[in-house]
Amino acid sequence: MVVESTAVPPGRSTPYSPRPFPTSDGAVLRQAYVWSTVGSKVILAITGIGLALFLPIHLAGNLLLLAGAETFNRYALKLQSIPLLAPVVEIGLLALFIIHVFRAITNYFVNQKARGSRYAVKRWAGGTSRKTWASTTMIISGLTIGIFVPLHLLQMKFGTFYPTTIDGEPARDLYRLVRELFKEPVIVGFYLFCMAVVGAHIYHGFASAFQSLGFNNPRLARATLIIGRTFGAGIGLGFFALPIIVFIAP
Amino acid sequence: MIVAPALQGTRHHGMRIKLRVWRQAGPDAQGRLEDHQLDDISPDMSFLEMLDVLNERLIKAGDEPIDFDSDCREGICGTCGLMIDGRAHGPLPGTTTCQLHMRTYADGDTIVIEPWRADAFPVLRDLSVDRTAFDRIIAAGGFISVNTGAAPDANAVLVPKADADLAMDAAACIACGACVAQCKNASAALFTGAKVSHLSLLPQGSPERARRALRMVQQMDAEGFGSCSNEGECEAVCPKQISIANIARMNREFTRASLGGAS
Repeated sequence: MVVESTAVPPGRSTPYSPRPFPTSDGAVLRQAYVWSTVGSKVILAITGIGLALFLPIHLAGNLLLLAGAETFNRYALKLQSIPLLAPVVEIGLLALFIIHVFRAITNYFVNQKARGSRYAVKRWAGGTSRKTWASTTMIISGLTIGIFVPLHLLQMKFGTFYPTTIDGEPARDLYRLVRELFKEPVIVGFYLFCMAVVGAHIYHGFASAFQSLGFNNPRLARATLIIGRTFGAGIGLGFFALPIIVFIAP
Repeated sequence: MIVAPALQGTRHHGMRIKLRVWRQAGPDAQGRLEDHQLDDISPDMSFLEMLDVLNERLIKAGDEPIDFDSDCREGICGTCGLMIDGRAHGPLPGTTTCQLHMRTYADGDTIVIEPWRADAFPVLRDLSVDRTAFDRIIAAGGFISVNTGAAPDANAVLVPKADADLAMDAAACIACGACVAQCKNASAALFTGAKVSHLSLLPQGSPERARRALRMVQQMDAEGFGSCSNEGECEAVCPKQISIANIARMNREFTRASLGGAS
């Protein structure tokens, strides 16, 4: 990037410089794109949609808990037995997760710097604005999910291995692990909190992602907003229900 | 929504208004909110006329008047712009500061007035900010290059009505900076999106379409504006009610120009 002047004018912390774009070099353009404010939002949108699409699949699988130990453990065994499925999905999700978190944090600092000084009084605009508590707390809900996911993996995927057998074959009794964990009020409370946070993150994030990707048909934008909010609420409520049901189940 | 007060009691006696106004001697000076009280404000006054009354009083008392920008005072130039009680251009939608009138307020109200706050809009003095960052974004690509000469015949270049309407809606931007002021990220995406859209939608703007999107977005970033929050606070305070659909269009234009090979 050509920086012609690094002088900082009075009253601002960011030096500005005209950045002429004399290049038709694709590599330079792509690199500049990735670090631009627009490109960063597009990256957040694509990775965010990818991560969000995993959740209904995950929820559907988890709802098999309600069908009993046999069905749930059989489902888990089946997933593991499909060649390459688990490693490919896991590596893919990890990559999306890392990119999403990394760009969200770098973006956050750019945005903090852009609004260097605070207003003494600031109100929401109202009217056509989509601002909600969910949208104002994306960085906080995101960081909460960033802490939750590793803990969740430690508890479940890397948790106690209870051996069992299905059709005479050795298998993992995940049903027992989930039941044991969700009989602990502290763990149930933690999960309920985190699932509300996940729902809030998607409540704003879903429609936001499509706006970033350039969906601008006014009628579809409205529909996207409603679908995104419903999706967020649905995911939140769905994952909310499981720990409660397991906790109160005999 | 603020309800206009009943006129009796205000028409003859004038309104009492308390103000908390941002005062800052210069770009690097420490600013603070200063309290003022006005006892004889007509509900027919515009917001800026109310500040004129205060300034005349300050000058008469030998104090420094409050610095603020205004020009046409008829809502079309984009020069005025104040953060009024935490909303850009005050409480009314689709309204510039100069078109806000004191009848919007009630007798005895306290009003907090601050300048636009953004790293890219440094405060020059009191309520005036330096918005030349917008000029540099325009200079980067917000134009069309044509051979000047005789004016072309009307309708020589055909423009579909739907495109003309969208371009006109985007062209309504008066570059006041309310979008930046209201956005929690101080993003200039609505301004830049409107400018990119209004030219790129028209045949005259097509030859430089890719270059325009590249240069204007790069300049927007270089100025230190933040990224779009997609909250649409900008659209809600925009005096010209420009849609955030223009931001989505800018994102598409910039993505196409960056990844699709630019001229």
